[in-house]
Order: sequence, then structure tokens, then C-alpha cells
Amino acid sequence: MHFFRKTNIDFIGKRRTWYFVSTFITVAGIIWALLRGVEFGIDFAGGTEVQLKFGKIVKIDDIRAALDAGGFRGAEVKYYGADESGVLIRVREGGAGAGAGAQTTKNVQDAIAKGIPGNNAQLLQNTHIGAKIGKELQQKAVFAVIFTCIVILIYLAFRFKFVYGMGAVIAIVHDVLVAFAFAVICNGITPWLNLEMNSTLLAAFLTIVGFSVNDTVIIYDRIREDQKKYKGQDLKTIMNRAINETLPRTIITSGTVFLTLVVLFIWGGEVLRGFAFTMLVGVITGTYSSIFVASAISYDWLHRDKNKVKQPAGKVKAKEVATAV
Amino acid sequence: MKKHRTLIIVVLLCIVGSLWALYPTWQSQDYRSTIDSFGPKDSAKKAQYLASNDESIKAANKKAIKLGLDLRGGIYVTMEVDVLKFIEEQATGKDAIFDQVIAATAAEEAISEEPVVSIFTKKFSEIASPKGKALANYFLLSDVKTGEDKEITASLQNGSDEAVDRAIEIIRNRIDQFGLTEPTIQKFGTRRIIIEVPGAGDPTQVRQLLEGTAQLEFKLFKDPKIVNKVLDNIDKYLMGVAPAKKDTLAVAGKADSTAKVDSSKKVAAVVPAKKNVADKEAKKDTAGAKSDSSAKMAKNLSPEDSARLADSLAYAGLSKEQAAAKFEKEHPFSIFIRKGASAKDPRIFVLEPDRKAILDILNRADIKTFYEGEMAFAFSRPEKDKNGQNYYEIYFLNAQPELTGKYITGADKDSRDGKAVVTMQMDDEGARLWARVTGENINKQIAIVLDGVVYSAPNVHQKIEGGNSEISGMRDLSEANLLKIVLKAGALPAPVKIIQEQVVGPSLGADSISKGTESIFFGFLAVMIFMALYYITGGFVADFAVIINLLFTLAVLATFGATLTLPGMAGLVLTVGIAVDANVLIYERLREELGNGKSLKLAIDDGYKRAFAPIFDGHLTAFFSGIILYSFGTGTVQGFAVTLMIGIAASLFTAIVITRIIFDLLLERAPTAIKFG
Repeated sequence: MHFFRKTNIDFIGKRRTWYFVSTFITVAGIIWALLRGVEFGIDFAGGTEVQLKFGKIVKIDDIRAALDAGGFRGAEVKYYGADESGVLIRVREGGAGAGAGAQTTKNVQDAIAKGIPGNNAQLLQNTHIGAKIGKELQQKAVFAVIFTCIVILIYLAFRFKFVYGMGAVIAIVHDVLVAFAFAVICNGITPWLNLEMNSTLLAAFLTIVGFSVNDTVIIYDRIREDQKKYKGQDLKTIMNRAINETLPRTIITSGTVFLTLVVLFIWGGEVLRGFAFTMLVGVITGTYSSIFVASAISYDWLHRDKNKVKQPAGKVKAKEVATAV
Repeated sequence: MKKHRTLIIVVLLCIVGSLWALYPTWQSQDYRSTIDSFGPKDSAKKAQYLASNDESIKAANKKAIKLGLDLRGGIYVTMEVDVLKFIEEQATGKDAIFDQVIAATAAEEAISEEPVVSIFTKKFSEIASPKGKALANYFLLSDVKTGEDKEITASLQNGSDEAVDRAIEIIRNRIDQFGLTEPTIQKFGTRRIIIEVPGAGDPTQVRQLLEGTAQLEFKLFKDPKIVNKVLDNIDKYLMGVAPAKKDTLAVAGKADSTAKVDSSKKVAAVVPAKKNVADKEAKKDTAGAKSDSSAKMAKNLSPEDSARLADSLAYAGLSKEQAAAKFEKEHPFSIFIRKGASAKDPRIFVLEPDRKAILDILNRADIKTFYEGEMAFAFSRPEKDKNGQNYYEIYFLNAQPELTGKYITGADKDSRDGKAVVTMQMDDEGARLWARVTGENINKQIAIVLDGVVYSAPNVHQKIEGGNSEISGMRDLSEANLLKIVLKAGALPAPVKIIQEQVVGPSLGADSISKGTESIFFGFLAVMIFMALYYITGGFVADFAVIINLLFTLAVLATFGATLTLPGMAGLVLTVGIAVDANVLIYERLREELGNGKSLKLAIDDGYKRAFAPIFDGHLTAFFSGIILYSFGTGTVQGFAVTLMIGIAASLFTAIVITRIIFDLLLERAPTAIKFG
């Protein structure tokens, strides 16, 4: 079975259109985040999260009333799980009733038991994160992403050329920003996806980084090989050929990963859903960015250098291209 | 075939090794399902099953893949010892400058991993030193002689380390004594303690256990008559017979001992030194007479004598083994205690699995009604017998303490005639109570109990007035030091706070497991079917490689005692993605080479050769992000990173080496079977 017979698409020629699309999505995400704010999960924000399963289906308003009476005004309440008997209650650090520290869980349970008698609420899960730990995790998350970028930049600069390393890192930043944009916007539109910023989402981001780099490296590798093979051809032709040659692999691999993620998204349960969703976005952008961001930016960068130096045509140019990678 | 002989052997060895490494995981799963099959009413049966299979269960669990709390259910708690508070409390003559230093330290402590004492001294030299203050102005510490800053810093550091260690000791005690399964307690950084309790029931209880202040009590031994009655009542209740009215002690048997329980496990041979309480001035010999009451106790409890006490007719005509079995059946609870008793030694020792069985039964709400408020069961700290097995001395104490630790003003270790002793001082009120208690209980034992664990049960030699006591009979100075810490532990030197807590209910854990495994299974299935359809022979070979990859990854997880979490399972899925990618790279390359008109053999050669560089680069960069994820992430995220890293390493081997061997074998034997779609 073959999905693709030799393709010959001019990817590099269309880069400007895609620059615009990428910029649009990224900027939209950032603007959304600035206007609406980012919803941090408990592990970054600090606070207490209680997940209960009621014997009978309950109304959110009833729970809210019970919580208000118990001194938890302003606590977040939402359904969580397969049906409306599962409820997630979140009391953020600094919110009413959060002062009790680790005892907050018990206080919440007491308030629910008092406010909604006769409906046995089973504690499925609870998490309490002190404000201090939350801050630490936030810091660590930012460090982790920055550090990954630096390590990859160094490795690729060493393995290929600094320009290509930069191209890959810009692609990574692009992927994380796009995934972030999707997470933030979708969290606003579809709260049932549970896409608030937490450490699971961080894991998704860092995995996206790994995948995106993997994709990019494979195209770079082919560019380098083709440059040796087809000496004298210009960089645009070589890049386009390399991307076209690796396209079947790119699609098949991304496709299989996409397939497993779709399965995880549908059947993986509540906890993995946010992760799977973000990864789905990440697999698409990771694939796309290795072509339209990493390769294209490297091309533009090398091209600009060449225009500036204004090298004589012919032999010298071919040599330069050959050593460009 | 010849070409790859060594490699094939290596691969086969790896596969066999992996299966061997995973066998305990399968075993442990098997045990767990058996244990879970016991209902709540079968706790005696369950305890017996646990006790008899204890060693093999433990061995299997130790080598099995550990399931994270998100999969098993359980409690994960991070606690922090407030070292700053400790420093503050050590200081005297605090003024505005000192408060400023404390505030500055607190601000930095919140964001720094540095030891608090270092931060404190740094801030002190920044803020207080220019104003002409030295550490000696605030700290008058007993172990500091010269008053130099360096010495005071060292002393504070020591003190704070001790405070953290003491907190860990106290927390460990409480958890041990609670009878929770496989808790892990570890020090994290300089002042944090991470506690993981899998499968625990009531988080509120655990929270109270962890955050409550340490409770030091002095308790008298319970009257053996009442102990026997309580034990009998529990036995009868567990057997389903109504609690007996008659006092077992009243029934005196004449027949010889017929029941004999297996005493091979008995540890009575190990005899710790006897401990005595003496007036500070009085020097007593340490091998003093055994207390009356405890001697009587053991006599009554040992199976030989208990059987004699029971209706002897019931045992008539039974062989020793039958009698033992009957005795065991009729004492479903107390058998765990009685088999440790002997007529010769007043003390009763129980082995670790028996202790667990006892605690399991005692912690049942319906059983609690039989003894709560009337008496208390307590154990000593664990000791190790010749086989390295833990054993404990069991104590039957009054429910109400005679005295609590709040009256103790000081305790220290010392030596008298070359022997280690511990001195203890009490305040006026304590001294008055202590004089009454010791006066009324001369030649009886008093247990020193910290959070339910008996650290020492010295004999009272005389009435102690004035509040100064001396406890002798310690084996060595370190044992004396421990008792000193215990006596001082009534008040924790520094408060300990829960800063992070996660509770996963067992039902959610089970739900996560089933959903996780299901989705992963279907994910694999989908990818494998696709690969087989798309690459035909190549697809099947790749599928085989993926299965081997999973096997290796799980085996490595089991070997290194890593924990499998839900995100870790997601990591497995992504590992499969990476492993498949490596094969896709090779096959696509191969197709290209075939398309260029190369022979199958040459195409395979070139395909593998050319695809190696991108595969290696890709794996390595993904591995890098795994390392970073591991070092910055916490808990569950680390689980994800570990699985990912192991999977990537395994994939490099399975996707490149194993598939290559298979293709070479096929080329040799059945080249027509090779099709790449």
C-alpha cells in the first residue's frame, strides 16, 4: 500500500502564507491569554481540589449553596467524569476557606455533608498544594522549557549548523505557543476538556518539543544528504526535494501517533484527556513547523546572508551551499 | 545466520531476562487479587493468609513494577519542617534587628533550596552585622563554648538537622504503628519529608496522624486477667460465638499440655537488657528481677498453659498436631500473640507478619469496641532476629496514661560506671504526680510510650520524689540517645506542616487502571494493524519489534524499582510512537531505494544505513527532553519521563538491531516472503 507516490510540492515557496497563519494563531492565543487570563491548575496556583462522587446526581447550584454556607464563597464547582454524579470542587489559595491548609479537604467534605444531607459523597481524589510549592512548580516549568530549548540548540548547532539549530528552536517555541494558544482558547470554549495549565499539560508541552525536534532533525538530515548528492543546485530546490522525499515518513509517523492519541483522547479517561488533546494539537503543529517554520526560517536566514554578501555566481556559490549544512 | 549468531543469542538472552524480571510483577498481581477477594468479614482469614505467605508476597512486591498512587489509590504528602521557627526559638533577647533578619530569611527561604541556617547567617551578616551585632548576642547555646559565629552556626545547623531527623523518626513511628501497608518515608532536600501511603483508607486520619503533636505517655501494665478476657472475647467474636461470660482464669485445667503451637519461629532467645528506673542517687543492678505481673501474663498466655486453662476435655484424644490446629482455629486472633509467649520468658515477642495481622484485626471498627477505653495494645520498636526478620515485643497497657510528656523539662544521656543511662527531669506538678505513681507501683513496670510505640518499660525500684529520675539498662549510648530524643519529643522542636497533599481514592485508581490499559491496548492495536496493512512483511516485523520494545521497557521499570503512573502509561504510548517511527524511517527509505531499482538485499542494506543518522538524532533529542522533564518535573511527570527515556533507549535497539536480524534471516531463508507493500 502506498499513500504517496513521488510528490513535488513547492513548500519553501509558500512559506510566507504559512508564516502569516502561524503568527495569527500564536498572537490570537497570547491576546486571549492576556485578556481572559490563563486558568492555572491547582499544582501551579496552590489551593485544594476535591473530587467527589455522589450517590445521586446533584445540581451544581446546590453544591455551590452548600459551599457558600460552609464558608467557601467563590469556590469553583464543575462536573467531572462520565455523568453528573462526579463533581470537582476547587478552592484556590487565598480564596475563602482556603486558610485551613491540608484540612481544607475535610472542611469541604463537611460542608457538603451538611448542605446536601442524605446523598453520600465518596471522596475520589483530593489534592492540596501549598502556595509555596505552586510557585516552585511554576518556576520549574518555565525553566524546563527554556532549558530544553538551549540543550537542543547546542546539540543541533554541533550536529548541523547554528542557523539550523536556531530554526529548530524557533519551531519549538512556535509549537509550544500554538499548543498553548489552543489550550487556552479551548479551555475558555470547552471547559469539559480540563485544559487548565497544570503539570500534565507541561508534560504534554515538553513531549511536543521532543516530537517537533525529531521531525525537524529528520528533514535536516535529508537536506544535508541531498546537498552532498546534488551539488550545485540551489538551496530552495534541495530543501523542497528533501521535504518531499521525507513526506511519506512524516505523514505515516505523525499519522500513527495521531491515531494512538485519538484513542487516548476518547478512552483514556478524564485525567489523560487534556494531555491527549494538547498532544494532538502538538503533533499537527510539530509536523507542520518542521517544514514551514524550521526549514523555512533556516532558508530565509541563509538566503539573507547570501544576498548581503553578494557572492559571485557559479562555482563559489555551489561550494557555499555544499558547506552550508 | 552465522553472521548474527552472537547478536541472536544476545537478543534471546534479553528476552528471557525480561520475562524473568517481569515474573514477580505477575506474581504480585496474583497475590493482590487473592487478598482482595477476602471480604471485610474475613479479616481473620485474610490475616492468616497474609501471615503465611508474608515472605513470598514481600519478595514479589519488592521486585514487581510499582504502581503509582494515581493507579493504586493512596495518599501522597509532602511535609516541611519549619526550621526558621526552630532558629527563632533558640534565640534569646530578640529585638527589631533580629526580627528583620528573620523576615528577610523567611522571604528568601520561600524561593530558595539552600539550607535555612545558611540563609539565616547570610542575612544576619547583611543586616545585623553592620549594626554591630554578632550571633553571640542572641544565641546562648549550651554546646557553644567560644561564642564565635562559626561555632554558633555549626550548632544551629546541627540542631536543625536533628529537628528534621526527629520529625522523621516521629512520623515514621506513627505510620508504622498505624499498620499501613508499604509506606515510604523519605527526606527530600534539607527540610522536607515525602510520605507515600498506598491504598490507605481515611485521609483525615492520616492527616491527623502526620500533623498532630507527638504524644509521650507513661502507662502502667494492664492486669493479665483483663487482658485474657479481652483476647478471649475477640477470639470468640471472630469465630462467630457470642462473647463468653466466664473468666478464663477461673477454669484451671489439670491435664498436661496437649496443645503445642509451632514455636520454631519464636524469638525469645534474643534477650535485650532489662531496664530499671531508679532514684537518681540509687544505683541498681541492671539485671533486676522480672516484674510479677508480666511473668504471670506470659504464663497465662503461652499456648501450653492457655490450652491447660481451656476446657481440657475438648483436647482429649487429639494428637499434638490436631490439638495445635484446633487451638489455632479457636483462637483466630490471640494465636498471633500466644505463639510468641512462653512459660519461661515474661515477655512476648511477635514477628512482623503476626504484628501486621494483629493490627489489621485491632483496627477494625467492630473489634475496637472490645478493648477501646479499657486497654491498649502497644509494640516496642522493631528488632532484628538472626534471620533478619523484624520482631516486636507486645505490651498490654492501661488505656489511660498515668502521666504525659508535658511535665518533662529535660532529658539527657549520661554514663554511670561505664553504663549508659538516661536522666529525666520533671516540673513541680509532674514531680508530685510521678512520686505518687512510682510510690504506688514499686516493682512494677511503667511503659514509656511515644505515639503508641513503647520505647522502654523500666521497673520501678522506689518512690521517686523531686522529679529527678534515672533510667538504666540501656545497651549502649545510641540506645540511650534514642530514649533521650523520645523523652524530649513530647514537644516537637520545630513545627511540621503539610505543604502538599494528594489523595487518590481506590475506586478512582481502579478506574484509571482499566481506562489506561484499555486505551493503550486499543492504541497499540490500531497502530499495529495499520503497520501490517501498510508495510506487509515489514509491518509484521515492526510490530514484533514494538512488542519486544514494550517488554524491555517494562522489564527495565521492574528491575530498577521504578513506579508506573498514569502519565507513565501515556509515556508507553509515545514510546511506541517513537519505535514505530524508527521503522517507518527505515521502510520509507527502503522503498525509495527499491524504487531506484536496487536489489532487495542492497535496498535493505542501504535503507538501514541511511536511516540510522536521522533515527539516532531523533532518539537522542527526544531523550534529552526526557532528562530535562525528569529533573524539573515532580511525581507523576517524572514517571512519564522515566518511561519515555527507557522506551527510547529500548527502541534504538529493537527498531534497528532486532528487525535487521529478522530481515537478514528472511533474506537467507525465504527472500520471496519479504514485501514492503
